[in-house]
Amino acid sequence: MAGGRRAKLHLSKIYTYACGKTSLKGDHEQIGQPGFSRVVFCNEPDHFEAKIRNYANNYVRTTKYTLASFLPKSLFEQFRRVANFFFLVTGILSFTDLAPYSAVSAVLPLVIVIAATMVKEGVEDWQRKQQDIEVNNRKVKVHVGDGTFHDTEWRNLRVGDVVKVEKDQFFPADILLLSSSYDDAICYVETMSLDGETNLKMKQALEATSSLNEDSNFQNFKAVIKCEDPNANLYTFVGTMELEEQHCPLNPQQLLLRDSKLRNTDYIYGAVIFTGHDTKVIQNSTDAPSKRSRVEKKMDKLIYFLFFVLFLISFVGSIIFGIITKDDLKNGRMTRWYLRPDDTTIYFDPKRAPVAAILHFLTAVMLYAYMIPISLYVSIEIVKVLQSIFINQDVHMYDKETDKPAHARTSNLNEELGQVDTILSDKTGTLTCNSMEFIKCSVAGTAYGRGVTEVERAMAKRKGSPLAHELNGWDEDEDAQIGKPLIKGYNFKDERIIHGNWVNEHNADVIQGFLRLLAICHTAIPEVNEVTGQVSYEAESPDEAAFVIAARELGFEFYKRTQTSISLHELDPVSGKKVERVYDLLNVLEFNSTRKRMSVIVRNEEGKLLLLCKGADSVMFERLDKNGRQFEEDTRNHVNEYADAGLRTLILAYRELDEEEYKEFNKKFNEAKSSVNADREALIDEVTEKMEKNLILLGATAVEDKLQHGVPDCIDKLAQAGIKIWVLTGDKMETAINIGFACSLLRQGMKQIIISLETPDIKALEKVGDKAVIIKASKESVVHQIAAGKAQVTASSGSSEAYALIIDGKSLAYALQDDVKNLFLELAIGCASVICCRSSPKQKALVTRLVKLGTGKTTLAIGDGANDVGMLQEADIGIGISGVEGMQAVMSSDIAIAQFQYLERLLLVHGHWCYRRISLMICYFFYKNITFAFTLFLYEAHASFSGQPAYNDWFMTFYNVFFTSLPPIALGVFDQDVSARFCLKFPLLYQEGVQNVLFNWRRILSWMFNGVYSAIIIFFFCIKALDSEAFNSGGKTVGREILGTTMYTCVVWVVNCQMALTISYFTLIQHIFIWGSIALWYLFLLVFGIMSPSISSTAYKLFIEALAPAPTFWIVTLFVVISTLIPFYAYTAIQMRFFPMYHGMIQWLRHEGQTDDPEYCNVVRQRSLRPQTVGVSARRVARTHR
Amino acid sequence: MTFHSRFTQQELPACKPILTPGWVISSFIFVGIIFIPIGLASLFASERVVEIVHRYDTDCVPASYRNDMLAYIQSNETNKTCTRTFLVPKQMKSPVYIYYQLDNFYQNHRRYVKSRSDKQLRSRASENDTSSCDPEDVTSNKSAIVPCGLIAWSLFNDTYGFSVNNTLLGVSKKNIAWKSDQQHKFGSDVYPKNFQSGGLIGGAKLNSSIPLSQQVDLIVWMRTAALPTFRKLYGKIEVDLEANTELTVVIENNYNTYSFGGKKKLVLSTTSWIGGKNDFLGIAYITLGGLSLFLAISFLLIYIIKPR
Repeated sequence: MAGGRRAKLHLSKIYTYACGKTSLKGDHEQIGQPGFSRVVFCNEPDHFEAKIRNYANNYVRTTKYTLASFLPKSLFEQFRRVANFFFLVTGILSFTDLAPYSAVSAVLPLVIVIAATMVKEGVEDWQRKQQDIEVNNRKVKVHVGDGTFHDTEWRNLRVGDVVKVEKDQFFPADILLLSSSYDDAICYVETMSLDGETNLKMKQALEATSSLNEDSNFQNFKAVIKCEDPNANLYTFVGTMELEEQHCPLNPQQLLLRDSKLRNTDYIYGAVIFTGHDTKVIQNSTDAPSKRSRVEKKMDKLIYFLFFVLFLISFVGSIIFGIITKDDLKNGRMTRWYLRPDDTTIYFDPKRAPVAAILHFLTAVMLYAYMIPISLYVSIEIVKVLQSIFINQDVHMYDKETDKPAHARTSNLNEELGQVDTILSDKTGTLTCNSMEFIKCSVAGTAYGRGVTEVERAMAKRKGSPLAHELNGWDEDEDAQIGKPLIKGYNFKDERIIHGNWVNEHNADVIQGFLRLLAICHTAIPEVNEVTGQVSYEAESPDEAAFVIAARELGFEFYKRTQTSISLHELDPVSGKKVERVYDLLNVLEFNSTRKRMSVIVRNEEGKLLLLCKGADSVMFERLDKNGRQFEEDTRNHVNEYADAGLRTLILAYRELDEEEYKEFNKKFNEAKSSVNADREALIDEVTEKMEKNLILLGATAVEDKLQHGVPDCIDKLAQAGIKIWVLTGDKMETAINIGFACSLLRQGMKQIIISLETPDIKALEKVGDKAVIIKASKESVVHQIAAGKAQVTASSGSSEAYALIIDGKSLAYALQDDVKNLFLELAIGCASVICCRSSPKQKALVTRLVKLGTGKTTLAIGDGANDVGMLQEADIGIGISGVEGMQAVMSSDIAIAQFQYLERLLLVHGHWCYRRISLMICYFFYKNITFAFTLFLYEAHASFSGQPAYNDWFMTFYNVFFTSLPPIALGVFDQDVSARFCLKFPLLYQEGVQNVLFNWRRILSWMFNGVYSAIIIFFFCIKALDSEAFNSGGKTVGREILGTTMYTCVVWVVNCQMALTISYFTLIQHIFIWGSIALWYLFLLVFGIMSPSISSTAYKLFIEALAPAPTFWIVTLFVVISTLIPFYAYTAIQMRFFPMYHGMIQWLRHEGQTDDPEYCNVVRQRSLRPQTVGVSARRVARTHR
Repeated sequence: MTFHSRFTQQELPACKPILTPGWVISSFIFVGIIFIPIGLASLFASERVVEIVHRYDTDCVPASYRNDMLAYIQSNETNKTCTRTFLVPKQMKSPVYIYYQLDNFYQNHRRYVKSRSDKQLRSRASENDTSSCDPEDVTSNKSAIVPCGLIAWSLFNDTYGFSVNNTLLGVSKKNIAWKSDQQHKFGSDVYPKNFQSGGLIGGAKLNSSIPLSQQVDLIVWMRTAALPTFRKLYGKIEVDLEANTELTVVIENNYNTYSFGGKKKLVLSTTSWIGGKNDFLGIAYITLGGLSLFLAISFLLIYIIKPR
């Protein structure tokens, strides 16, 4: 352990706000009432009363099925699909005499399909099970009596157990903190996996138990905790502890939640309160909404359409069958005597023709059921899993630094990736790294720092030749690595300051004060590496760490914190040597979002009292003393400059205090701190307010909220692809606008429509404080602003003017109200970029829903934190950034990527491909099944609709399973219209998916028509060519089996060759699958024919004896196949040449080798459907127009 | 990332053909060049085939019964023998195949197709396997009918005798059935039993001393036809018939097609390598080949006149 035990450290003292006392009043009166009935006997898990209560054990199961429920539950899931249920019904019916084919041949494919899906489900669940086992078998130290602790598996933990959790371990259950390695029984927890926040949270045990910080103390420890029942609220907890006749109130401060982690604390002791499924985090986990892609939803409609067609043709057939059957007996005389209509079954009885017709309807439905592609679902599932594997394996989406590849957590949405219309992006951690770098500062009115920000870099890059860098693609990464700072969080370059040079500056004393303030005014904790002597810091936020690191690098090394002091190694400006300085830490007035500042009060070695303060410019400038404003104007200018460059700024100031003043303050402050009233915070605020004024300005810091690598370029590509990008952030407006500029979502010359409630009127009203009036006025103001904005946008429609909408959280709350939201949406759609700042997680989700439902287009949400979970689940596709932050966003996302920039490849390449593949595959599936089913139907028309299939039962069974199954899978997995390089080079190709040109009704119906047409050609040419005369030189005529098999051969050839014509990408795999399927058919025919006639029946020796030796068979096949395909071929040739679709144009480009001709590329690019309004390229265009 | 190959990166070597004018035109020309010769060959072969089709269902009913042909055919009293003569238009080289052609006869009806027992036909042991043969499964005293089922029961029973200049021509039944049927589907130990013994007689009777494997007419009949108009081999004449020979046929007109309005035809035909006389294939091939050449020329013109 680096720091050693911080024994006598009462860190609680530095937290003024967080460590308060709770009264027994209020919520605690509810203990024992319904909802608050839990009783925990600490250290006595075997207590007889605990046994009666029988609380859940700590085994957590996340699997969908158990061993027992797997079969019934997964079967139920399967048959919930209409198509599967349909096949189940026909399967059952096939055991009756109604069946036109043998039962086995009908049931087999269904069994295969269902089994395949169930195996997939099972494997997925098995993986979940493995995870469960890993988690449930983690070890934790549990008190086993006599003050000894033993390692026990998590799953064996019981309510009431006393556990010892050590540093960096996860809490195994919801635990009540009893004591810690710190004397004041505080501990730090990281709740990243709960809420995604990286800053540490402090928890503190009750004083009554804080002394129990040795194993042996627990020998005789007994306490009873009464508390609320398990619930999902992470931030509340109500309970009391009875300890030695004492009643102590418990609050969330003492509760350590499962899945959070102990940090900066050597160990804690705690009592288990909620276990397993009772824990708050598990109670909180909702089943992720199951999402289905648009293509799949449409496919369902198609299936219904096919059902309609199926029932229609069955109905028509049945009516005709009924009429024909009725005619079999005319006036008591048999017409078709060979059918014995006088002595017949109900199915063919002329006397009861209507009944026969109704029964025949069922037969027909079963026969034409081949129209419904039974294997479609399973094929799609297989294809999607394989597609996901390709996504996961893509090295271009693999992040070396974090060792994280892309991870498609669900394979349902692959093709949806190709249809995204709007991206809703989080900012922090998604667009930006959430790593802060101290890059510039302004001290005493002088600006220091020569570092180049990502924003400036992006601007500089844009001046270069844009086409050239698009071609390079991926080698830009290396360039960027060079600019990386060597020390994380520090990127300050200025020879005037570094290496102690600042002592020579004319304002050296101010600089000294400035740096000292950075080193003292914070809540970070140093960790000294005992070997190297290096100091590292654990800070609540990355900005905080950046400051301390900057101070260290510039000569003010903070290395030790005790409860009352802060020790620095300071560079003495006089001697130029490092000296040790200790500052007595008197008070810490922490940062919070309302105060927007933080102060510390220290006494230096000379005994001077100093108040050091840092805060946002909005609150700091007004607190300056008359005499402290020397550098105000310069500093303000610098701060504005920094903000323009996308930097975060803080103002630093200090003040000397005299003893009297401090004494009085301290008294009042302690009073306020120890009060238990509800307005305790207000009291503290009041006291501190008085101290934090008359400050003397030192300067300002500028920290870069680093954009992630490649973000501006990625956004540009996405914008070129016609995707709209909205930024939803919790940050304040200025920061959001900065980032907007940084990633080219905003640019100079774009008209900004800012909707905000920070207007003077509203502020004035807020001071008065009548809530109803404020709400009414606010809403009116928002509606007015939206309407005005919309008028502006409408007025300029047609011109190339671009608008940007920026709205803050408060206004958003009104804009999202039911009566306003449509107006808001209309305005937002009219704008090129939309930025919502200060938005809560709920608002993010609501905005996402608004866009999703309002536009009806596909939305994609991308985020990294727990605050994005709602948005990720609400959007059609949720992308989690699996970079550095917590796992929460990733766990609720559909696809996880390591960096925002991979979105470009994910959408433009994989999305486009998957969309194309799946749409084509579905169309093709329908085509091939319609072709097949219609040949059956046409044959029926020549068999008086009696329900006799044209083909052997097994031929029919294997049609979907063997002879036509693999090529569409190859299409679905491997097909590429254009290569990845061109997908990225011509982002507009992506619009094919957004506008759904490959899966619109016209296209689907033309494919279906193609199927019907092919069936007609195949059938009629076959029956004409194989008419009643002899078909071989031996004089033999054509029987049912010969006609059927020839037709079947033609169908297999036609659908497979159609596949070859459809795709324009052949690897060895495609060749093997397509030609192999045809070869397999002949092979099957041969082998099946050799089997004993009891199995092969009509196919016995058919191929070797009858078909193969007859030239007619071969020339009929050749003729039918070519004649069926020629119209499609001619159509495609004409379309490809004269009306190519966008991918066709790119194929031409590639084919003719003009891809390196920038002019020509631009011609293709210019076929843009709408002008690009945001992104780097738009910025460039806008600049040339100006 | 451990496994990283061209396959996982979806960069396999691939051929990416697109329909360039060159491809389109040459493929059409290719089709034309292949198809026209095949078409010519088929048409030539078909032309070489000599075929005589003679419809006799009406003509073989005496004029007095013409109004009620059904009564004629169903009556046991009437004389069913009918003599027809016709000229051989061209020389017919041996073997001359004799077919009967039925029309509007649904051998592909589901009830009909299923009404047979393959097991029973195959072996004596399964003689009683008649469950699929209803209503021609068992006799009134529950003993199995062999061969059972509607197909066998409705066996065609017209017969033809041929003579030239009063010399009888032998009709050979050799090889008119598929070998596989004779060897494997119809047992040599299965003999007809209780056949056509019920009240309602369907078609032909069988000689119960000949095993099914030798009952070639039955075997041919039991390979059900695909479409309602079909021909089946009756036998073959193994002598050449010279042109203008007057051929006399004595027809036993027994089979009832009158009740369902079906035609009966007697067909004599030679064969070529494509089988019997069928101009369709030849014409279709030539048409498609011509069309392809036409398309090739059209595309060529389009490409020249209107380059992209």
